[in-house]
Amino acid sequence: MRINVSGYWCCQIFGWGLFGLVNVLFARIYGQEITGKLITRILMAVTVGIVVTHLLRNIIIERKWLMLSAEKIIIRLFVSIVAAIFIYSLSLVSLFEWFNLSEMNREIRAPFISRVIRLAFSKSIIFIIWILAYYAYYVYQYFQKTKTRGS
Amino acid sequence: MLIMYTNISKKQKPGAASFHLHLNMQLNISRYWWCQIFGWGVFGLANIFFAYTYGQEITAKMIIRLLIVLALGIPITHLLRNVIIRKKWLVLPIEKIITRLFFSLVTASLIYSLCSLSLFEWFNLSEVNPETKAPFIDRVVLRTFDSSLFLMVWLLIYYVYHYFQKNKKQEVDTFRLQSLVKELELKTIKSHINPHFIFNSLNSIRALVDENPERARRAITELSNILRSSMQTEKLETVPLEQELNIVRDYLALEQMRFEERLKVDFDIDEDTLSQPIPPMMLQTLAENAIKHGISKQVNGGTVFISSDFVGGHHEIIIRNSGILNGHADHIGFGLQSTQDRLNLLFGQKATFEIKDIPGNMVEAKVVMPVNNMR
Repeated sequence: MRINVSGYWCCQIFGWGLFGLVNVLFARIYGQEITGKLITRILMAVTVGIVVTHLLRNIIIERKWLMLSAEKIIIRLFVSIVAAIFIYSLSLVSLFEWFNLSEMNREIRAPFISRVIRLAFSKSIIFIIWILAYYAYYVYQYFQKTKTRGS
Repeated sequence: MLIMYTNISKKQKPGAASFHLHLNMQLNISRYWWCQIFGWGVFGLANIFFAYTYGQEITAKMIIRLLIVLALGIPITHLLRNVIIRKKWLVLPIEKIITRLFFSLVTASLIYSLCSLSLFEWFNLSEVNPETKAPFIDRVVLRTFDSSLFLMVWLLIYYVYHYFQKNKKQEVDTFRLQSLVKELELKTIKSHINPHFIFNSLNSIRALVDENPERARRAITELSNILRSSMQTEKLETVPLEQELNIVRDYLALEQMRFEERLKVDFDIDEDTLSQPIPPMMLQTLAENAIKHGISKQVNGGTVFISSDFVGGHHEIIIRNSGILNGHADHIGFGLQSTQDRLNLLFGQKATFEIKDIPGNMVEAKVVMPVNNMR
């Protein structure tokens, strides 16, 4: 079952837009300078986030995971979300390296792999919220549908 | 413990409903608390893991801070749950839920961060130099953002679980309703058959009363036998073919009294099919149909032939009678329509029913049903 496409894209843009804004806000509160590099990094984080979660959604729909039983869904979603988080962090850190967007001195910077792991850990909550919101919306829609069919 | 409760509830009839409700509530509460303990436990462990990964020292102060966060997180989410249940936010449409949940999430996160930071200050649990520490209000704002993410995960899990349970319950209810409708449909059809049959049989007996009172008396006895059998099968969805054949034999015996030489009856029954289930009164309806629309319209009468056999992995019943359909194969009467409906309800697509003209001035009604191996 597909969630209404336009509704889905509105939620994606709103959610990831909010994520970007909160990042800017946090940077300001922490007294970090709002530079061109920071904005580019946030824009990249938002863009890669949208692409990775959209791919995740396509896998969920194509493989019909939403129709499975709770136990099967939990295992599949857990594995796919771990994979998505690592793909997200790996792509993002690689892009930061490629476009030289880090503001930290190369000599004191942590090794590439540990930066990927740290980013994956710190952003895991965002992906967990995304998948839960997606699934909550689906079960809500399904409930409404069966309620109408039953009456 | 659960098994013991279930056994008691089966024995105790008075107040059984309230006992079940109490039992359900108990189960739900315990499952809810298990989830709370598991969820917050994972949260605590993840915090230690992150601190370790980021090279932070695991001090006693840090563990106490974590314990305070957990000890506050559980009652705050429990209060949030109470608000959701009391204000019935679980049954609201999504547009109304979102705004309410947003405000309650912000409030809960603010209370959560205010309480935890105040306790950290109170017990002097911070490891940051007081001179470099950010102002209290800034820390509250940052922590509110942080807490809102975790509380959002909590809320989403709570809602997903709730709707998942509701969906399951609704599917079970729909299935039960469908079974009930099916049962009622079958009962309705059966209750139509009996008066239909009685009326025709009484008509046959009425014709005999003047001609042969003695045989009419015997006929009444036979009819009462048929009625008794039909009443016994009233509550059943299917009966063995043998039982149905006894009714048909009695019925045809009644009709033979009326038609005398004009009606010939022939059976070809495979004994192995006698235990096969068939809808009650179905064969009788078809036999009655053969007499009413076939034999009675033939000046010289005719033959009613009934066979039962296994053909191509199916149980096949054939009723042949002299006569023609008169081109009315598409427009079948109530008796035949109800036969078709009952077969559909009982066996779905696995059963077929057809009636057609065959060579030799004969009409053939054929019922094909799935074989029941549970004999």
